[in-house]
Order: sequence, then structure tokens, then C-alpha cells
Amino acid sequence: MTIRVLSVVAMLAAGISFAQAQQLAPSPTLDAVKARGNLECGVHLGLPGFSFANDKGEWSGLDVDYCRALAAAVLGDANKVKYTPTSVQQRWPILQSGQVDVLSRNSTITFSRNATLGLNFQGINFYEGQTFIVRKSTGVKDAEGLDGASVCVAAGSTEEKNAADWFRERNLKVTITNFQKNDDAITAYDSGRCDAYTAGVGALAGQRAKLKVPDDHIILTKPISNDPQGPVTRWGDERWQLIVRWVLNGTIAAEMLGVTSKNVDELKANSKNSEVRRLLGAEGGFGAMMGLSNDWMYNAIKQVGNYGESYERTVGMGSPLKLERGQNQLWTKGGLLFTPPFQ
Amino acid sequence: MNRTSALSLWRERLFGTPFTGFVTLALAFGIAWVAVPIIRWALIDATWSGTTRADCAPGGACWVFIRARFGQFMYGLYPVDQRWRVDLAGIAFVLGIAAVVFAPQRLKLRLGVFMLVLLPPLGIWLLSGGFGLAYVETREWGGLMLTLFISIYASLIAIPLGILFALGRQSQLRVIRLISVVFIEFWRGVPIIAVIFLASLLLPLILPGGIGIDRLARAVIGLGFVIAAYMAEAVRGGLQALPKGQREAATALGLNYWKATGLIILPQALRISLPAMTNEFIALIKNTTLVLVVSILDLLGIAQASLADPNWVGMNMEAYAFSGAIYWLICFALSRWSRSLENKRRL
Amino acid sequence: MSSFLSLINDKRVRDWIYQIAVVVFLVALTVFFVRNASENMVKAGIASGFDFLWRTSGIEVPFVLTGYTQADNILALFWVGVANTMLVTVIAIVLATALGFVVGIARLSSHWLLSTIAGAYIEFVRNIPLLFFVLFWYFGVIAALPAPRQSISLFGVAFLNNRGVTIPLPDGIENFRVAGLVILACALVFWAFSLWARRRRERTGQQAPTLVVGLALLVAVPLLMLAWATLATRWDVPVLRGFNYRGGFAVIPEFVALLAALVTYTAGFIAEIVRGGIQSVSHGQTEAGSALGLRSGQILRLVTIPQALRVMIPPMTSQYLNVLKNSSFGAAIAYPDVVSLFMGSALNNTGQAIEIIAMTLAVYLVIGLAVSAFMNWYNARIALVTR
Repeated sequence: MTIRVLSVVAMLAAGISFAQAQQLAPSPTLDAVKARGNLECGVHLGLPGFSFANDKGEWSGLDVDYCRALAAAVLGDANKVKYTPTSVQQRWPILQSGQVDVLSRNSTITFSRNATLGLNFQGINFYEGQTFIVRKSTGVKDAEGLDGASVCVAAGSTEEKNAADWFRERNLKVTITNFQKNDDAITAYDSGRCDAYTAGVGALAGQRAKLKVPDDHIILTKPISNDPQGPVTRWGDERWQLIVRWVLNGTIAAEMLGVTSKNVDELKANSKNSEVRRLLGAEGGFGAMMGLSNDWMYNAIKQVGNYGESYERTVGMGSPLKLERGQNQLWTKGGLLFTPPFQ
Repeated sequence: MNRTSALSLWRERLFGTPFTGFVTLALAFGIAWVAVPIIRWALIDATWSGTTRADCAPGGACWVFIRARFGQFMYGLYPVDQRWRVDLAGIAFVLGIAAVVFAPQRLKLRLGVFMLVLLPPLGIWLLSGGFGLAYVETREWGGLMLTLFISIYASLIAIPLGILFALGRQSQLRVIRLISVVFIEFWRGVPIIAVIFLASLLLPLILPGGIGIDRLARAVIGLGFVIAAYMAEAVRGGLQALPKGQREAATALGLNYWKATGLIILPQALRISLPAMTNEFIALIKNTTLVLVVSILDLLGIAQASLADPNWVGMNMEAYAFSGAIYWLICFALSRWSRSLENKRRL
Repeated sequence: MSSFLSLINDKRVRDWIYQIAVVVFLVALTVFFVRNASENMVKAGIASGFDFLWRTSGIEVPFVLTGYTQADNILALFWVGVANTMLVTVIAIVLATALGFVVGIARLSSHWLLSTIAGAYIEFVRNIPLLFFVLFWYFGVIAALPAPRQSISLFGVAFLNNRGVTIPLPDGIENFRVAGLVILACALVFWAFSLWARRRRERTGQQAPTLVVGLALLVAVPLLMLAWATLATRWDVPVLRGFNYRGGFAVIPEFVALLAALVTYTAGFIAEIVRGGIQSVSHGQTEAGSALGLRSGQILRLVTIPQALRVMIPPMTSQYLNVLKNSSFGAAIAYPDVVSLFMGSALNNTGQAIEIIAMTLAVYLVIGLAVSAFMNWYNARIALVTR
């Protein structure tokens, strides 16, 4: 009797695992991450609020938090991340050649990058808008007032082209000087080489602290472009792309559903909301569908927090940057953040 | 008596004729104009002690910054509790070279080969870990230690390769000669900054998928290849300085090509080209600064990176002056050594 | 069998076997690398080929010599970079040679202080990485210049500030073209005259007033013509409006800083070459010259320098090539040279690393070959002719 039951169970289990093995496409990246025991994450060289290493070499920031959430989901430990700082020039080759598993480096999603560089953007973790920082003494109030000015920018960034296009369309004459690194550009701006430095609102809020007298400068409020940014993977390995995309979605869904690092244990045990239960692995077995453990998002939220917590801690009111949520608010609260349902 | 003669000697030197005197005065004025502000900034108005930027007096150098960051300038982000390993590697290296230099003549060659086999792997083991030592990844290396590491290991690639291509360029075999000339002229013709880019972007692409090479290793390989071409030219100078009779005599003794080269030609040629090779090594040390284009933080790179710290804004001059002085000391000492070698040979 | 052994023992055959083996190895290695690269690129979805060169670049460049605008294609951007590289290289070579000669001769001066200072300069410059010079001139010196509103005015027509130097630009160049033609004609006339003078001297021993004629034709007339052209042309004089000077031509500070760095650095090396060259001419030559009754200026011009040049040319060539390669350091301070524009901006927008790196390396190799060819030709021309 017991033997028969056991054998039925064994057959069922074998059948299920066989079915699962068939469903799961091979994922060399995931296998490599698991074998290595850590996630290789490409980040910005140093952009306070997004990815910044203190003098002990500890990384923090919104983009870094995404890496941590991904590591928590895949490996169960948010600290198992190795960061590769990348310059504007190096970021694509480093990702393309497989030196990092994912690039989380405030990089703007554009058509040509998607189409010709062999890159896929897996969602949006920050709606950035390009603007300028100028000296208060110039009295400039908006970008139109920059006619005739010199503008410093990082070479190879979307800002470089955006600014050139924007001023040309308006028949304004500006001189754009392209530096290899953001830090070089901002040093040059600070030394008086340029009248303005251009980057995203969020990036500027962080980089302002690198100026000698930050209070002498003002960030123009009206952005000249919309630059959605998010984690990037290379082509191929669809299952890895799936994981990267849905960990980001999961952090946003957690905020939508009111799941935070504080109440995650309680909700996992007691929540009646089945989307919360599926997100946290209490039902549905979603993690296993991607080859992860079912408490993938539980780990990510428990260790890193949901998107809103991350935002407040790194760039929002709980940080020196003090950025409003703005477009980066949930769509239900007037922002643009959105995630497909966990069903 | 003595003093007056010294005095008159200097008077003669500096004010011998009205014209000499005029030139002296003009130069002295120029020196004062350049040097006084620098000395005031670096020494007189400078702040030496304190802990933060606020402790520094405006107008003078803030050496407090260098004190606060000294560890990083030397070791980069190498874990503090593991830094003894870097020191140990350095000491082992210095002792190894000293042993070879001061060894009796007949032991020199054997000891040199022994050290060449022993030291490089030992250094890599000490720095990166394994076999009982904690792993320290190359991305945590930096500062002066990295500058020296890159210089030494790139020249370990460059010197053998350079000798090989110098021999190839002198070879009787036409195809070998052609290949050597193309190799040497190609690498000598392109800027090193482009080569470092090339190595960091292309090496992962041309190797079979899945083989990853460490970022630092790529920079070392790239630099090694370029410097090999320059080393080859330095060695060729030595080869050409040898009279033709040397090889002819060796061949007449019945030695084949490799034996004649290894026992007769190279030992003499390398001794002649040692000063030139040292100069190439100095050039290599200076060129390691370019690895910062691929975000490897050598001494200059760490100096630049430290400038991005919001707590220490505006320390550009201090960072550059300090790291520049270290480069200068190393290169100057080496160039003096190379010149003394050259003089010894001339005598 | 024995014929096979004798074949193996034949040195010529053995040499061929060696060489073929090496070639086969190299070809195999190349094929291996190329196959890996194409496989990896297909797998990664990276585009390849040179089509990207005809895409619109969209990149604004602050220092353009070629008439490029951001609506042009990426190939045009490439040529902008090449032109900027050549410009800074050529000017740096000329200035570094001049400064190097001055320092090198100062090093040999009998004036103790002068030669000590020259020596200290050489020792200082040669032992510091070039990158320090570039950063020093850019962030230390140029950035310390006043802002546009407080510009240093040079005779009210050119302005020096931390945005570089703004110089007037002629509205039209017709007058200058005329002046140029006249100057060219003068040079031809002088060349013909000096040929005639030399023939006559060799035949009859009579000296012709070459110096006076030369001064008139090569200095006075050109100066007059240039002065006329300058006055007869309408000039677009820069005026401070808004943030910066408008009008005229702006020489960007990145150019000035890179140029200054290349010149001060390279001069240290050239000075050593000059010193070595002059010292290599044996003292007996000078004595022989004075025994022939030549004056000291003539000895320097006719005896010492021609012989010293012969020693100096080969190392000079490699220094000139170094200047070319070192001009790529401009990438560190945003000078829009070929490395910064093409390997920086264009590479980022297209991602086609292999093609772009190959083209960039080719630029340096081609220019480098041209410079060496010229210097070899010059070297052959001044080489010792044994009759």
C-alpha cells in the first residue's frame, strides 16, 4: 500500500520535474551566476544617488539597489554582487562581451541601441529628463536662455545628441564640448570652461555635490527631453532576460500592493490577496517557472525593499538628493510607473 | 683663502662679463617669479595636520587630503587587513633583485633564472590570493602598487617577446624578417591609448565565447605587446653594435644558431642595450597612466578618482602634485641608473 | 630515404620548412580569431560592416576645420577628427623643435646658471608622464584664465579667456590668395636667383648679394603683401555678446592645453637630441673650420650643424612620430581628435568596435608612414656623400 502510494508520488514528481525541465529553456547566464555564486553587475563609475562607492568601496544607489534585488532573487543574498564600474564608452562593450550579467547604469533606452547594439532594455526604473545646471550669477531661467553659451557634456551619451538637436531646432547657437567622463565634464564646468553642464535631473542632483560651492549653481527645472532608463541585458538567453525584467516588475508591484521590507513576512504568511501571495511565492510557484526558488521576490523585498523604499532611501526625501517622485510615482498616483500583473 | 676662491669662482661663473651678469640676473628673476608662488603654496601657506577639508587654510596646499588618502594612493581599494601581502610582495621583489645584483659573477645567471621563475608567480599568488590566502580581486587593486604591477608584468611579456622579434628582424630568413618588421612597426606606429582600448574591447571578442580574461590582464597584455616592439628596437641596437665576427666565430666553433645566439650574441647584446631597455621601461611606467581610460585605477587614476569625493572637492593640485612627484622620483632614479650603466660601458 | 635525409640536412630546405611552419601558424591563428569574432558578434547581435559610416552623426563638435555640421554623416565626423589630429601634431612638431633647439643649445651654454636651468628642465620633463602635462595645462593653467567678461584683450581684436583664444576671421580670402600667389612667385624667383648665383660662384668665384636679395624677396615683399591683404580685407572681429565672444574664430582651450603640453614635454626630448647631435661633432671639425678662416657663425652654420643634423635626424623622426601618437592624449581633456570623436562618440553611438578601432589605427599608421618616408627622404638628401 505505502509502496504503491510512494511509487505514484514518485512518478508524479518525476512527471512534474520532467515537464518543468522541458519548459525551462537553457540559461547559460543563470547557470554561470549560480556557479560563480555572485552576480556581475555593471554600474556607473560614480553618480551619487544611483551608483556610488564610498571610500570603503561599499556601493549604494538606486541602480545598485536593483543589482542587489536581482542578486537576492537569484542567489538569495543581496550582498552577492560584484560591481564593475563602467564609463560611458565602456558600458556597451562590457555588457556585449559578457563581462557583466546585467547593466544597471542609468542608461537611456533608445531605438538604435536596441536595434544595432545587440541590447535589450528590460523595463524602466527611472524616468529621467535632461536639463542643465548653470551658475546663479548668469540669471538664466530656462534652456532657451542659453543662446551663445558653452555647454559641457559626456561624450557618447544621449544628452550629447539631445542637446545638439534641441538647440538646432530652435536656431540657438551653443558650443558643446564633449568629455570622456561625466566627472571630467563637471570638473571643467566648475572651473569655468563652460556656462552650463547638461545631464539628467536625477544625475545633476547627485553631481551637484561635486561642485566646489554647490549653492552658487542652479538646476533648470524644465527638462528638454524624456530619457527612460532601466536595466539592460544582451541579446540571447531569453530566460535570463525574463528574470531581469520581472525582478524589476516585482519591486514595482510590491509597492503597488503595499508590500514593504517591514511587512513582507507578515503578508507572506497571512495575506488574502492572491497577487501578493503569488508575488511572495506563497502560491503559484512563479519562481520555479524561471528556474529560481519560489521566494525570489520575498528575498528581494525583504533584503532590499520595494521600489518606493529604494527610491526614498537613495534619491528621494531620505537622501541628500531630495528628488520628488514626479514621473517616477506609481501610475495610480499620477506618475508613469507601471507593471503588468503577476498572474 | 678657500672661501674667497670659491666666492671668486662663483663670481666668475655668474658675473664674469657684463653680458653674463645680465643673463644671470634675468634668469634669477625668472626663477623667482615661477618658484616663489609654488614654494609658498606647497610649503609656507600649506596645511599639514587636521582631518577634514575645513581644517585647511585657503591659498595653500591642503596636504591633509594626501594624509587622509595615503593608503588609497598606495594600495587602491585593497582590503586594509590584507595590505601586508602587497608589502611582502614588494619586499620579496626587492630582495630578489638585490640578490641577483650582489651575487658573485658565476652564480648570477643561475640565480637570475631562478628568480625569474620564482618571483612572478609568487607575486601573483600574494596579491590575488588562493592556496590559503583570501582572494582579492583585481578590481580592488589600485594606486602605486598597481602602477608597479602593470609595469613589471607588462615588461615580463615585453622583454622575451622583444628579444625574439629583434632576432627575427636580424634573421637571414626573409619571411621571419618580414613578419618581425611588420609586428614591430605596427605596434610602434599606433598610440598606446588606442592599444589599451583595443585590448579591452577586442580580446573578449576574438577568443572563443565563455573565456573571460581579467580586465587588468587585458591591459597588461596590450601594454606588453606595444612595449615589446619598442624593446625589440632597443635590443636591435645592441645586436647591431656587435661585430659580425662574433657570430662567425661562434659558427666556426660548430655552435648552431640558437646556441650561438644564446651563449655568445645575446649576453653581449643585452649588456649593450640595457640602458636603452631601461629607458623603454621608464616610458612604460609613464604610459601605465593610460590604463585609466579603461577605468583601472593606477596611481594617477586613484588620484583622479579621489577628486570626485564630495568631502574633498577642489584638491586637484594636491592630488596631481603628490602623484606626479612619485612618478618623477621613480623615473628619475631609473634614468640615473641607466645613465650610469651607459657611462660604465663607455669607460 | 637518403635523399630525404639530405633534404632535411640541407639548410636551405630546413629554413623554408621553418618559415612555412611560422606562416601556417600565423594564418591559423588569424582564422581562429576572425571566426571567433564573427561567431561572437552574431551571437551577441552586434551589427558589422561599414554601413554605419553613412548614418547621420548628430554630434556637435566645437572645433571644426572641414565645414562639418551635425547633420553630416559619421564619415565626415571621422575626417573632422583626422584633421584635428593633424593640426595639433604639425603645430606641436614645429614649436617643440624650436623650443627643443633653444633648450638644447642652452644646455651646452658656457653660462653656468643657464645650462643648469636647461638641465633641470630636461630632467623634470622627461621623467613625468605626459598625461600630467595635459591635465596641468588644462585644469591648472587654462582654467585659471579669466572668464569671458574679464578677457585679456590683445589689441582689441583678439581675446584670451578660459574659453580659449578668439581671433578675428577675414570675411573673404581673395586678397590673401593674391598675396599668397605673389609670395610664391617671389620664392620661385629667389630659388632661380640662388641657382644662378651658385653656378656663377662655382664658375667665376664671384659672390652674389644672395642675402640682400633673399631678405627682399622672402621677407620684405611677403610682409608688405600680408599687410596689404590684412588692411584690404574686412575682418569679423569678435564681440562679447551674451555668454561668449561671437564672431571670429575660437581656438578652443583644449587645443591650447594639448599643444602646450605636447610642446613642453617633447622639447625636453628634442633638447637631448640636439645636445647629443652637437656634441657628436668632434672638436677638430671646428678647429679645421677656423683654420680655413671661417668666422664662428659660419663654422656653426656650415660645419657643425650640417654634421650634427645627420646624427639628429633618426631620433628626431621617432620624436615626431611620438608627437603624432601622443596627440591622442587629447582625449583626456575633450580635444576633438580622431580618438576622442571617432573612438569615443562615434563608437558609442554605433557600437561597432572592430571597424572603428581598425580605422583609427589605420589613420596613425598611414600618417606615421608618411612622416617616416619624408624624414627618410630628407635624411638621404643630407647624408654624407662620399665621392
